[in-house]
Amino acid sequence: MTAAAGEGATPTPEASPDVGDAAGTAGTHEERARSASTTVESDGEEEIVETGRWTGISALVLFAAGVGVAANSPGLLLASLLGVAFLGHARLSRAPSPTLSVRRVVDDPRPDPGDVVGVRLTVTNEGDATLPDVRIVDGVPTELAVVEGSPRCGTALRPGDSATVEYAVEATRGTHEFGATTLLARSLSGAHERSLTASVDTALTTHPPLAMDKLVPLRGLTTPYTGRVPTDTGGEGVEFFATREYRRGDALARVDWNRLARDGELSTLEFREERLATVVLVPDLRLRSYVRGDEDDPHAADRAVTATGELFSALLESGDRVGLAAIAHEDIWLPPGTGNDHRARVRDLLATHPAFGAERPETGASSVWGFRTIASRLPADAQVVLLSPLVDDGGLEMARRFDARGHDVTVVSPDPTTDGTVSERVGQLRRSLRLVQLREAGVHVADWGPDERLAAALERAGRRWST
Amino acid sequence: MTEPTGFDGSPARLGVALSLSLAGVATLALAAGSPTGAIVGVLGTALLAPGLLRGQRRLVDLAAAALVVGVAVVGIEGAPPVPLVVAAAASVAAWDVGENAISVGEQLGRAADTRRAELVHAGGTVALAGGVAVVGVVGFRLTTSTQPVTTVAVLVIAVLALTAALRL
Repeated sequence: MTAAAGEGATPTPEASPDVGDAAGTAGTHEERARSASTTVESDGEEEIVETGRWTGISALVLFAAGVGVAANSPGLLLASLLGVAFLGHARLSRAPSPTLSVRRVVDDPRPDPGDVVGVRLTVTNEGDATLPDVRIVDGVPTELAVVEGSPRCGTALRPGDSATVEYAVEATRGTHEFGATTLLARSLSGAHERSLTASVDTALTTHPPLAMDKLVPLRGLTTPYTGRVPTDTGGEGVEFFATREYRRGDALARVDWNRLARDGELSTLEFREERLATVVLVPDLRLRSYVRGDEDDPHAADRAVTATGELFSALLESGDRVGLAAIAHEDIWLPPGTGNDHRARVRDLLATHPAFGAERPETGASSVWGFRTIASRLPADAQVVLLSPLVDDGGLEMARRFDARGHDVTVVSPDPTTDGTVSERVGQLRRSLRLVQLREAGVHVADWGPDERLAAALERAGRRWST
Repeated sequence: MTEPTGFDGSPARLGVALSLSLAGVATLALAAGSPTGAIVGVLGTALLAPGLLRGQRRLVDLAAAALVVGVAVVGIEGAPPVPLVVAAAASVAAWDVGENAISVGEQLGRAADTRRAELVHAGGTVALAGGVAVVGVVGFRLTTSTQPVTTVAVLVIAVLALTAALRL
């Protein structure tokens, strides 16, 4: 419908020349983000669709005329003449050549996740001919759901008239660019239809919620610094670990005085050391991960990114050092760190970095290449949390390789499978086999169901890990 | 995932209502011509209703064909031109408005506001049908009294020439 129209339409290079008509706010950054407009003018090159809707009627008209002649009925001939008038009207009408300006205003260009954002699209007939049938379809970002109203409208526009389409979308994490608005102009008879597309640059940017108030169960690999991950080493700490023979230099506070009083032997108490972990979060964003069970669900890659945000916040909260990488078409690496700046940077990256886009990218990344790049950057004492739907062997392979290099690996796996058809069930089965394989290899795996909260999935998986 | 509630592409309500009303007018005009015409008209309307409600073009086309056959039957039975022309005009208009409602439904959906486009389209169609019908009937009245044979011949030639010119 829009194939040739793309070249035909001539959007003005300046995306928002008339931004901020409201006095005083002209040109502010905020205002530019809120509203943008463009003008498209038909230059006669666009594809004109002949709808062909009148073709069948011509047969009926000929039939009526024939019967009229045969029955010698002037009234019937007159009636068929009327049909001919319709056909002639359809034949003679031309596809309109509209000049339309399109302006889109969003209530809030930077909403929070779950916010309902109102969008107002105004289409104005800038030409000097009346357009009897204009059909407007706005390019809603593919990953946003329309929750109120409809992004489409059918109207007729006199010169200077405008029509407004109002609807609301529910914001989700990431940067969502609005697509081109499709404008179909039909002649009055409906025999011809010209389609134009207008690109109005508007985007919604939503930062992920970095909130999870639950400790993320981590594995044993730690840094030498004191933290909260229990280790299998005795030393300073809180929880009793073992006793050993006194060595010269042991702190007096750790001498087991009770035992000295009882047996006269000098011994030292050891406590379980709790140390700080370095964790690198690696969402698997290869094309394979852009799958979803239900049309309305976010795809597994999106869930992985959202989970990355939640895990990041929880780990940072518990004092661990957290880094960020991704198996994605765009390179991304943020070395492990702590602090508020680090947190703000990650929040920003998750919302705006092209690797974490909400839509399925054009090109994908290979698991081998992605693994090598990340592995070469990982600190030796870093744990890896891989977030992969495990819908192919690539995810499995990566988890194994990280494990083989001595990084403790935890896999958080958003489950995109369903059990509708036979092939879907086979996919589900193969995925659960991969989970089993990973568990047998000693990797911690959290299987995260589609309607489950991440914290609940980790809780469930954590019980299995601790036994 | 654009519209989570599912895109309802069934024909637009207003167009369906207008189309069925026009089919009703056609049926009444046929009934004024002859009882057989009334039966065919009711049949056509009965085909139109489910076609429009389910958005099936084939049924709508079939209904238009039935109405035109009704017009032919009434014409063979020798009805006067006025009910014939009215029935024909209303039949074609009913089909046009109905088909438009289907295409609006497909492209824009039920949830969209499409009233203005539909009203303008229906208005244009009815105006064209009405105008041509009035001109045709008046012209017919003025000429038949003196030259009936010539009129018929001219009409036939006009119809054929126009259809040929239209490359249909």
